[in-house]
Amino acid sequence: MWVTAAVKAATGGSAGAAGVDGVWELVVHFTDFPHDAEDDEADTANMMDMTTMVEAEEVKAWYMNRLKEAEYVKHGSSKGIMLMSKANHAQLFRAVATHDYDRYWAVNRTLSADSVASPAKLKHVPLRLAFRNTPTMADLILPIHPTTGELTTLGNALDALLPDKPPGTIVLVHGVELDPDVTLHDLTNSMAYADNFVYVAIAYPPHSLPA
Amino acid sequence: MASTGPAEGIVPQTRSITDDKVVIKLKAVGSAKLLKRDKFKVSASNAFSHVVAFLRKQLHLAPADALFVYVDKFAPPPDANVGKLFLAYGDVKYLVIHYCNNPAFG
Repeated sequence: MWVTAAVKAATGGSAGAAGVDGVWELVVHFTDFPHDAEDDEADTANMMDMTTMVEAEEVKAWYMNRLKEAEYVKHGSSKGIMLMSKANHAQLFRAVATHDYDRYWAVNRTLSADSVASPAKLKHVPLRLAFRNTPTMADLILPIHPTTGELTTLGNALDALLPDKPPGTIVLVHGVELDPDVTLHDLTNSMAYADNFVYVAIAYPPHSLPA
Repeated sequence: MASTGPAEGIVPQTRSITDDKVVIKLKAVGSAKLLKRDKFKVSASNAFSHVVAFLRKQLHLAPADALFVYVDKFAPPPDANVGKLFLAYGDVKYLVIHYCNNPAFG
């Protein structure tokens, strides 16, 4: 399985996202993985960045690895996943595959019970920034400021990670533009994706890419 | 997006990268072949897939041979930046990378 993606220009242009391509069109291919460029060294390197998943097992392995990574970021070790029973692993992935919200949360809730209640139990925020045409960016961010004790907001995190972002940069989570004052703890609890990472899409305004 | 408060201090600086280089330490797990040399300096701006390609070359693996590569018990995405991996998951001096012929770490 491999995926090609194209950004479809936003039609109509809503006020919030004027001039920004908002809609992605994903095409999932199950055959004809492009092997022909393998002789070319540069192309081979690019090719290896592509994920080839042939079977559901590989998709599951990929998912479990992201889950483990998120668990490590949140709690400092992947123990929560490693100690989970095989039946729960299976239930979690099956719930994702079949969009079964209740079954998913029945298992996933056990992973983050402590940190949902108290931001002090959250070691780092599983935050990933997604850009157009460049790999995602993942840094460890503290949910609470070490000296002031204030909860870190999305705005704080973006100031720290992207100090040179041009004005007019659009920040989307699940396709929704967010208030910069929302805390990362709330984002982690309520807006995380199925692998427990919060993916934030960053769209720079046209013709103002940062140096 | 307007600044909403202090941004300094929320990205922990426990490790640092000098000269755009990260030392990776490769550790074999299970029946995987040991390397004569296990520490290498790699460019911090590389994608993780380059480390995997390098490791495959060191181990003289055929394209069909399986190799599973882990950082702290999970397999990083191939496009993950090596420098960022080190800053987030590294030891003080190295980024420890485990490799094996079979899937490991459940």
